[in-house]
Amino acid sequence: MLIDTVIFLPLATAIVLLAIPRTAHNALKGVALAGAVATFALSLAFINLGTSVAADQNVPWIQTLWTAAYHVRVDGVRLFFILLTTLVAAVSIWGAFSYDQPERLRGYLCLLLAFETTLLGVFTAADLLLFYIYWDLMLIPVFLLLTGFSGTAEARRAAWSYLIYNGAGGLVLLLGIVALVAHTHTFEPAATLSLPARTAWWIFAAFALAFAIKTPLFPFHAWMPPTYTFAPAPVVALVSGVQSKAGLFGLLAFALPLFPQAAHAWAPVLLILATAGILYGALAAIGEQDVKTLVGFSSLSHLGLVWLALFAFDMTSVPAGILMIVSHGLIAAALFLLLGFIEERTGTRDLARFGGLAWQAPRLAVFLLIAAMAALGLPGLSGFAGEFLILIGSWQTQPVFTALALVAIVLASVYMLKLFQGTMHGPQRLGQAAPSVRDLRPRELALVAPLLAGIVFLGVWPAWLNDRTPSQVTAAAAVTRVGGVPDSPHAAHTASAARKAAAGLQMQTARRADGMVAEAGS
Amino acid sequence: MMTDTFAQTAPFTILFLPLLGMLVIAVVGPRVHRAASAAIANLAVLGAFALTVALALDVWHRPPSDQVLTVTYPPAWAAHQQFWAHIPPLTVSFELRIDGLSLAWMLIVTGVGFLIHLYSVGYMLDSRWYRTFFAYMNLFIFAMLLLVMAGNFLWLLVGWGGVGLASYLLIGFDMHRPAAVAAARKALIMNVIGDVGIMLAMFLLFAHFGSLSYKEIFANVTAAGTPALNWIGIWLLLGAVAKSAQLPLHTWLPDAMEGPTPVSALIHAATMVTAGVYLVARAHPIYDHAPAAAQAVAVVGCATAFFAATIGCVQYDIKRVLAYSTMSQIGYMVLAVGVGAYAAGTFHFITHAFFKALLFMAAGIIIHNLGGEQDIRNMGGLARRLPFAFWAFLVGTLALCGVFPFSGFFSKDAILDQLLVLHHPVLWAFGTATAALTAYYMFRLLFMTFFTGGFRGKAQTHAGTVASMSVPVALLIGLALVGGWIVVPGHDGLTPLLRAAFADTGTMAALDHFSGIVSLAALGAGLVGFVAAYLLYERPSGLRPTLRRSLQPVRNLLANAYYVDATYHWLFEVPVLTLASDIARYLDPEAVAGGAAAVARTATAAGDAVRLWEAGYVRRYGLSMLVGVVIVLALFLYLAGGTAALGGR
Repeated sequence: MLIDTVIFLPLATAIVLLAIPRTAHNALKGVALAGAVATFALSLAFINLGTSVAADQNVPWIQTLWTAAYHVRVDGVRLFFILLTTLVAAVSIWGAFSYDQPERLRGYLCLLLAFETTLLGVFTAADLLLFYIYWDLMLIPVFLLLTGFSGTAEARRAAWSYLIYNGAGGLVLLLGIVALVAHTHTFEPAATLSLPARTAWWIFAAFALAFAIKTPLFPFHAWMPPTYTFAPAPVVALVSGVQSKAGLFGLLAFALPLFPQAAHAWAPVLLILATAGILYGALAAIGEQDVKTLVGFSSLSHLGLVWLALFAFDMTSVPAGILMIVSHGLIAAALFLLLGFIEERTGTRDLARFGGLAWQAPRLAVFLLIAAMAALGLPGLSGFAGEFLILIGSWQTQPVFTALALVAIVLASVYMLKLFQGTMHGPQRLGQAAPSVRDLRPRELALVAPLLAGIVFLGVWPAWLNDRTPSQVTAAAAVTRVGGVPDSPHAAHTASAARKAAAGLQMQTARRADGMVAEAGS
Repeated sequence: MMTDTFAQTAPFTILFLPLLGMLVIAVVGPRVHRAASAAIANLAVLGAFALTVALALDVWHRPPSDQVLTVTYPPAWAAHQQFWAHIPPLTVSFELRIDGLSLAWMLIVTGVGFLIHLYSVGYMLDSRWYRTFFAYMNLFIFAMLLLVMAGNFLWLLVGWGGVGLASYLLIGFDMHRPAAVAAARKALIMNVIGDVGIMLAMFLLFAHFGSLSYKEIFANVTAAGTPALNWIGIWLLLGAVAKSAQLPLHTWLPDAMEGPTPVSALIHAATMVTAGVYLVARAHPIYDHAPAAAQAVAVVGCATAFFAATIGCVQYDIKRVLAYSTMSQIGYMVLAVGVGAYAAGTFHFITHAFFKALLFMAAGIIIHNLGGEQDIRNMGGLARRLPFAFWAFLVGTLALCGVFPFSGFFSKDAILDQLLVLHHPVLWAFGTATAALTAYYMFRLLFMTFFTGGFRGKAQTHAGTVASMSVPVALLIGLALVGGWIVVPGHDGLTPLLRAAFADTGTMAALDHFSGIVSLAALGAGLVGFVAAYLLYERPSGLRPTLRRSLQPVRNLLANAYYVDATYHWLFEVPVLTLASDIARYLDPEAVAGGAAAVARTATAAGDAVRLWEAGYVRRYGLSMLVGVVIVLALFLYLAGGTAALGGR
């Protein structure tokens, strides 16, 4: 089965690596990259397998008082999480080639590949037990990569912080799942309509808390700044670019479809936290002097936008959230990898010590410019497409939070220019410490280029992605299954506009029909 | 059929030629001679210009009902129509709209754009980043064409952001100079504020019309009520104000003069900064039905015209004087489109592109020859040393001051005349008073640069005006002179070309209505300004020192541009940066991480958590209070559903 091959090929590659001598660097690199690229190439096949369900495999696993299955699936919701994972993993593994302790390269590559398999497991799991198992397995490779392969005391402290927070999140998720299974007697996320509202409210809260820690959502982000700052660049590219999306995936695939009423009940709280995080992350990024922490806080801000998208329950904003997820994954991975190249060259992440790198490294400057402009929300790049489509949707249901989020777009231009100009422009300040900074090598160019190509592609043609994400799965799940929420706020709007136009004709009664006619007529 | 194929394909070719030029330079640039990069860039823009001329002739030879083209990609017969976004109910496709209005802008953008590309071949010769410069210039032309050719607000915004990026890159072109870097940052951030304004307008447009396409919105613009249209107009105005350096988002333009002079001529005088005028003219069906918003546009334009002219009177940097002059002249255009005189605004945009590009290019020759000197106190007596630059500057000045028969006379007169015809006597009075100030600051600049005793600077002049610089300047001298003759008394050659684009506007008055009072008042005002400048700068007497002493407070106010920059600095920059650095340094590491640690400690010893807060500093208390206030405020806003304040439903 294709789906199993995609999930386990990275892990199999890691096992093959263990058979290769530690010192055969070229063989290690070649095999690791070949495995990762092959995984990406195979995952591309899912694109053309149909939009509703591209692949589905359901094997009964445990059947006692409750049932669980080895159930994996690729569908419109999961497709782009999988593609994002395989692309960013391949790029990150390539980026890890320049690891500065060659004698430990084998372990490093093995852990990255194992991490990829756990991520793919999370994004394909269609059974809650399987989902939970992969969810907690994700922690192990990241923890080991942080403790063993960064070499600094700060990184080890960050690793514990990461483990404690995310471990706690996993525990809460487990509690939620167990509470659910106690009612339904199956780990299959089936209909939960019989669930008492109060129980659903609590279970949703447990799910949301676990997902909020993983994303992270303000104020559950305390593990994020140290992890993003001290982990090696390829690891951060995967953690920020892909793993941070696991929480959002959990919302889209499980929490929202399972507990729509509870989701609506919790929406005010989550919208406030999302908006607070959007602004807080932007402000913190402006005040930050460490380039990697700065990009970390910008992620907090941008992923807050996805929470806003999901809990605005709008037909446009929810699918646009998936676009934003993919876009942010590409942008964050590109930014962290490029900042990693800069750190390798200059030995610093401190903005106060940079300046004028563009003189010596013009190609690096152009690449960083594109990534920074995408994060800034320049129209024509994917960051803008995601933000704009989210906000035009969320404006229709939540204008106040949307207006506050717009402030963060202005703030984003401040911190992204601080990052770009601080490193690349201005007088050259590194001086004797780094007499000559090399421009990007061909390997570095080639590995960041696909990410930038994706950023440009999704910026000029976001419909390509949205046509492959079934909006009925995402939006309908959250919006229409709850009574009292209008199934199409825009229809209501256009209706009100048409009503005003028809006021002279005394046709005030036929509201909805009028709107439709006006829409068709225009 | 043949012409239809041409009209369907030419817009894409025009649009993508400059983008192709940029990509070719980016890819092969480093491997070919630098002259080849310049040639590629120039040919790309020249090709776009030639095709635009052909397209314009094709369109303008059609019957009026056929003069508005909508070109979509994929073509109309293709099944898949949504090239950009497709999330029902929102669909946005890639569509271009070609009509008289966009053609006017396209002709200037590619035509004047080409002349400035040609000029740059010589001007930028000493630059280390010669190829990069031309790549950026081509990027700009592409984005600007997209802005004016777009057939819906989404692609307009993509062009809008693209010109912002090109402007940012070119202002900060000398990236080692901190002043240039800061100016570029300021320009981009202020323009993002404008982008947000346009986004807000689009949110409302989508809410009320379910579409972002000009065609669909303008066809039933009355479906939305006047209050909604007013809000849409106001948010669009925010975008226009930021891009066109109008009050109150004008402070980036004077600083943008840090960019190389050809950039100032192309982006910050002739084309990009007029995008706000284009936007209002393009959205005219909205403004026609949004009286309050239209009035706001007119007032902003009029205030900026006057305000910028006063500041221009006391500046000493040759390019900054011209920058304030640009703000002021765009103020005229915004004023015109605000009162509904769309043709007059477009007319002034055209002539202004000629004479302001000419002035900047003449200034560029001076700066080039004086080794980078821009302070007019260090110039003087240059008429003899740089006669070509002098004649060019003189023609530009006469056109800008609206002296008959130079181009500026006709276009400025058209605006002032329309103000009276449309019953705006107060705006007319300010417009005429601005004409006096214009003549004063321009002749002050001319005298101090070219006369007023001898040369005061130290820099040695070196005759280095190459043909690639003088040829475009010579052409623009001609255009600045005759460019206005398209509209003369009894013959209006411009309005018929635009009429199809404004078919839905009732107030499309012809421009050939010349009234003696308006013309004489404007010329008289100009004369007053000229005489004042002449007496103060060419007839040394006790008058100037006396005036200087008695008007010192006013001078200080003007020299500091009414302290707007300082106000913004203390009102926005300092609080935001202080808050941001407090969050990054104290709140996040201590309160969030510490707070989380405190939660953990609560499990073991509840008292420890309390101590963390009691032992804190005043700042920590302040910040935690702030966080509390923000949360309460957000709750309140959510519960109160304060949508009306934001122009929501």
